[in-house]
Amino acid sequence: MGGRIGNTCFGAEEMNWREAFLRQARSDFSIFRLLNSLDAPYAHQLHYLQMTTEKLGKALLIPVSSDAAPAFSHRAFVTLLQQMPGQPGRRFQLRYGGKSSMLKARVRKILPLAKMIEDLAPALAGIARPNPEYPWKDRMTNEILCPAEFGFAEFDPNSADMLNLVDVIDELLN
Amino acid sequence: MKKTKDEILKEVHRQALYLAKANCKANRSIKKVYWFPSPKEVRLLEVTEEVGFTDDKAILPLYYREEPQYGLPFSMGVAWVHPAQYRNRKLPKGWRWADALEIRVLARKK
Repeated sequence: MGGRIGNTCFGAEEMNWREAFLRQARSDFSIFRLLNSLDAPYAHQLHYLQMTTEKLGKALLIPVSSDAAPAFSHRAFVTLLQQMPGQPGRRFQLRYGGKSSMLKARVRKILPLAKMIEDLAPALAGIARPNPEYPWKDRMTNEILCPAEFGFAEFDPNSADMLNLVDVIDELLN
Repeated sequence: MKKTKDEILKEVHRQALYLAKANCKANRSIKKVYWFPSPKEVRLLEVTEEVGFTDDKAILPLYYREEPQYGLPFSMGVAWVHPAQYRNRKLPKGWRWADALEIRVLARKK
């Protein structure tokens, strides 16, 4: 059974691609929060976090008020973070006002982790690197590994950078 | 009274200058900024090594909503491209090199 739910019933305003990607990113992020609160296997949490960043980035690849479909790129989220300090509106949204240097310092800290999360997309990770969605074959050991049983130690959920990155994503989605 | 296209372009240009300065101040790695005039939105292409090389065949700007409360009445497309790649990548639809104007931001302190 397919179909529409929620506010897409009769008389509701139709959304464009950009808005649709933003809404889906918000929904992915709420599932990330839910899985986190349930202490679900970390791969599933990371999967939803990675999908949030991908959809947020893709939403911004679409011109405002355009009906165009999104451009294909998995790299938009990191560019979004890099451009943030130079965007006056973003600075105010994140409560930095005119202080681009403070926001830049915050972004600089989380950028390496953001790049690693971007690289988790299966299209970028391929079948030889860890990703939170599909099994892969470790290059060094030739062992086949399953994300649900993998630790993803580089993505410590309690690290200051991870908490900071999650906060920034939350603020960008609001 | 309805504004003419020239009047709108002047306002877009003013915002392009403001945004280019804000971008260069926040990101010292930006070497060049080009403005692609359009009455629809601000279109900037910024050349910076911060993006690294990409496999993308086209230049992919990020688009931001207008935010009149912050002095940004027009929506904005801002593309970051590596210095070695910006001339040989396909521009977004409606952006043309023939129309592009380089924005020279004030010299920065070392």
